[in-house]
Amino acid sequence: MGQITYLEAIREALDEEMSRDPGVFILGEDVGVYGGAFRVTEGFYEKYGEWRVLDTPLSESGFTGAAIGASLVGMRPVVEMQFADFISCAFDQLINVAAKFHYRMGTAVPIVIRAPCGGNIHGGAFHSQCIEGYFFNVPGLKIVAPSTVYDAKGLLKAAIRDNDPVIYCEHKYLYRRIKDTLPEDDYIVPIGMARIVQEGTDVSIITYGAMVHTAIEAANEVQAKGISVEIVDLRTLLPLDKKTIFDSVRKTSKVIILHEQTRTGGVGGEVSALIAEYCFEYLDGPIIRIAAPDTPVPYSPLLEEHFIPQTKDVVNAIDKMIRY
Amino acid sequence: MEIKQPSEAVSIMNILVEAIKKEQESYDYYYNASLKATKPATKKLLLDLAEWEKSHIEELEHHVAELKAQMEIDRAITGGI
Repeated sequence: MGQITYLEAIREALDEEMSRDPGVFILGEDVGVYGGAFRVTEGFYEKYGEWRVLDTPLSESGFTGAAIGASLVGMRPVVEMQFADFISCAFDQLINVAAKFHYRMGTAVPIVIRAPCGGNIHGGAFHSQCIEGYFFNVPGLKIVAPSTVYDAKGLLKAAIRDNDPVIYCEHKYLYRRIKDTLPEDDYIVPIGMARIVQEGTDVSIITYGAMVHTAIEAANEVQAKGISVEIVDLRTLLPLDKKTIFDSVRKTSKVIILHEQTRTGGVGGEVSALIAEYCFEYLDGPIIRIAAPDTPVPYSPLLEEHFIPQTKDVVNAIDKMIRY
Repeated sequence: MEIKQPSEAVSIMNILVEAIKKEQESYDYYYNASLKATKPATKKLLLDLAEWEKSHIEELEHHVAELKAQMEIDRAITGGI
């Protein structure tokens, strides 16, 4: 089997899950006849028909609510937000309905929200946001953010099979830029488990999504100076895999947290607090956060480059950290 | 009659595709010449040159893939307008 892209891995996961389980169906804007804004569901309308690939009106709140209703009677809907930025229109349905049903009624809400997120694509403030922070403190939701082709497929399959509402943050920049050969057999990537991308001894970089690749570039750059970097890819943001985070911190004693989302109230703040709470005695220096500044994503390519953390920012942070 | 100008991305794509063709021709030229060479040193030189052209092809193909990825994103954002 040949290599496939991150986007094709998402398509494969949807296709395989729809073939496996007749309760799985897709709904969203332009997902049917048009095949999705990014062509993820191309050919699905023809293959599965209009009742399993539903073109909806431009109403994120409406079709998210419809998905929740369908899930309550045993279906497993996959909602495509055309861009993650539009998820705010469905905020009430996700926060007050989907996330709370389990606690209120003991009822499962097995829905997946596909959220094409992230910048570095010159999309400006309405097509480039990372949205995980809006949902990160909501009990009852799960959030995953694959960084590799393997995880893109495995995490989506796991999300579809999960009985809780899962927000699946797929990074648009990675769609057609990374490729891999995947196993032919069915597999999932379990929700709640981080991954050690590479082992190291001098400093830990804790990151997720497209920033994993930035971390790898930085680690390769400083390797020439004899610095050994461990990279932790969180993969699941809610719930966090605390054990893997703590094990890495206890091993290297130096921590950099890297994410593309804006700094204040981001995932990095919580990870930092957890490390300070549970690993303080192991730390040899301050916890450094590298994140986007607290502004909307700029449209200008030059400003966008400044906004999104770059390899040089990570290298500078490693150089600073290694002096402790 | 108004002449529609191609977008910058389409122009660059055309240039890259043309450049790949030229690099492929150069690769074929050196490789075929190496098959006719009798001296080992000449054969090696021609094969090295062919490999050099191959690396150019790979680099250009990477640029094509990158441009295609961005064009797909642009199409999604604008709806192809």
